[in-house]
Amino acid sequence: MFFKELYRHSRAGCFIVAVFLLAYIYINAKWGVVATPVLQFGMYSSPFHTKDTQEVYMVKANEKMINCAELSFSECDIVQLFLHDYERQLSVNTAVYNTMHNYPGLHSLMSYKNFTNQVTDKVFTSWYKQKMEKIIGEPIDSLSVFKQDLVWQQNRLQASGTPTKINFIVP
Amino acid sequence: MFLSSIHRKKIAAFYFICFALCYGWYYLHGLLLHQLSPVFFLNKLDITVNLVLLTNLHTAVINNPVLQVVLDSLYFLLPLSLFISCLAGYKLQYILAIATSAFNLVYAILLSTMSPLSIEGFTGWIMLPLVFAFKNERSFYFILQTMRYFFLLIFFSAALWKIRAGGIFNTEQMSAILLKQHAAYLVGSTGEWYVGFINYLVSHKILSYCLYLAAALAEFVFIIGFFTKKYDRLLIIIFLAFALFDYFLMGINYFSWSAFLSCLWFSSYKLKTAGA
Repeated sequence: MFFKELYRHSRAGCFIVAVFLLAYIYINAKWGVVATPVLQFGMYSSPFHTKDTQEVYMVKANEKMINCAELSFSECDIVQLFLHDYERQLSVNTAVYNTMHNYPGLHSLMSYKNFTNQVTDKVFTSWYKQKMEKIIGEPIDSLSVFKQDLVWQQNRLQASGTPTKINFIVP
Repeated sequence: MFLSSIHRKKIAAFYFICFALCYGWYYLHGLLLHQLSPVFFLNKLDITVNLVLLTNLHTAVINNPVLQVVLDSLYFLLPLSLFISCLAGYKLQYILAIATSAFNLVYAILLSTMSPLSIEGFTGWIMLPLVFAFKNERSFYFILQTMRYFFLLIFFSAALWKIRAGGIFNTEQMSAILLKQHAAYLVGSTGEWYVGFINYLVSHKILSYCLYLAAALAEFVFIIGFFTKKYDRLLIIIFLAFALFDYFLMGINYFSWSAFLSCLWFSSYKLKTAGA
C-alpha cells in the first residue's frame, strides 16, 4: 500500500526506497560486508557460553591496578577497548584491505599504506598513558599492561593461567 | 489530523534536542574527535567506510588537531543550522539537510573507526536529516513514513538475527553476554552493588535468559508497525524501555536512536489532499 502511494507520488523516490530495501535484505541475508547506512543489527545474536574464556587487560599505573569496577562504562571502554583495537589493528586492517582489494573498482584505487596505520608502539603508549592519566586523575610514572584469561567458576569470574605482559606498551 | 509545516518544525526541534543531548553525552565522556586525538584507526568490512578511507581523510584527521576541532564543530553546527532553517522556513534547509546527512555519514565513519563507538548508533543522525530535504508537504509525508519503516526494519531485523544466528535458542545466552560485556568490571570488583547484580544475573541463567527473550520479543513486535500505525505509541514506549534496559544492563547507549521516535509519533497524521 505504502509503495503504491509512493509510486504514484514519485517513481524516482519509490525506486530509491526499493533499492535501499533490497540492499538491506541482500546485505543481511549475505552475512558479511555491509555498506553504511545499510547495516546488520545482529550484535550478540550468535550463541555465547558461560564456559567461554574471557580476556581482559589489567592496566597497572604507578604500581596500582586500574579497577574498571570503579569507573563509568565509557571510561572502562577507553581502558579496555583501545588496547584491544590497537592489538589487532594490523591484522584486521590487513584482512579488510585484502578483502576490499578484490572488489571491482576498488582494486586500483587502494594503496596498502593508506589502509594501515603508521603509528608506532611508542606513540600509542604515550597517547594511551595520557588517556589513563585523565581517568585516574594523576600523572603516570610507570605503566604496564597484562592480558589475563578469565573463566566463570563457582559463581564468580576467576583468573585462569598466568597473565601475559603486553609488549606493545613500551617504557 | 493533517501533517503541516508546524509538524515539520516540531520534528526538526525534536531531532535537534535529541542530537544536542547525544553530542553533550559524547562531549562529557571525551568521545569527540578533538578530545580523543586519535593516533590509529581500525578498518571494518564496510564498503562505505572503505570508500571514505580512499580519500585519505582519516590520515589527515589523525595528524591534525585543528581538523579534529573543525569536524567536531561542523558536526554540531550543521544540525543546528538545519534546525534554525526549518524553524525560520529558509530555503537553505533543503541543501542543509542533504549536507548534514552526508557530513554525518563521513563523521560517523571517522569517529567509529577511531573510537569504541559503533557506527550503528549514528544511523539516525545520518538518515533523519533527509526528512527535511524536501520542499513540498507530500514529499515530507513520504520521507517521514520511509524513515518510520526504516526504524521498524532495524528492530525487526535485529530480532530475526537472534533467531537466524541461534542466540535465542541458547538458554545461557544472556549470562554469557553479560560475562563478555562486563568481564573487566566483574574481575575488579570490591563489592560494588552493580557488580553484585551482574554476578547474580550470570549465576541465574534462566532469569537472565528471560531478559534476553524479552529483548528479542520487544524487537520482534516492531513487525506490527508494518501492518498498522495504531500501536506506534506503544512501540515508542517499548523502544524507550529497550534503550533504558540496554544501557543499564549492557552499558550500550541506544538513546541516539530516539530521534526516530518522531516518525512514530506523527505516523498517523494524514496527508492533506486537494479536496481536504
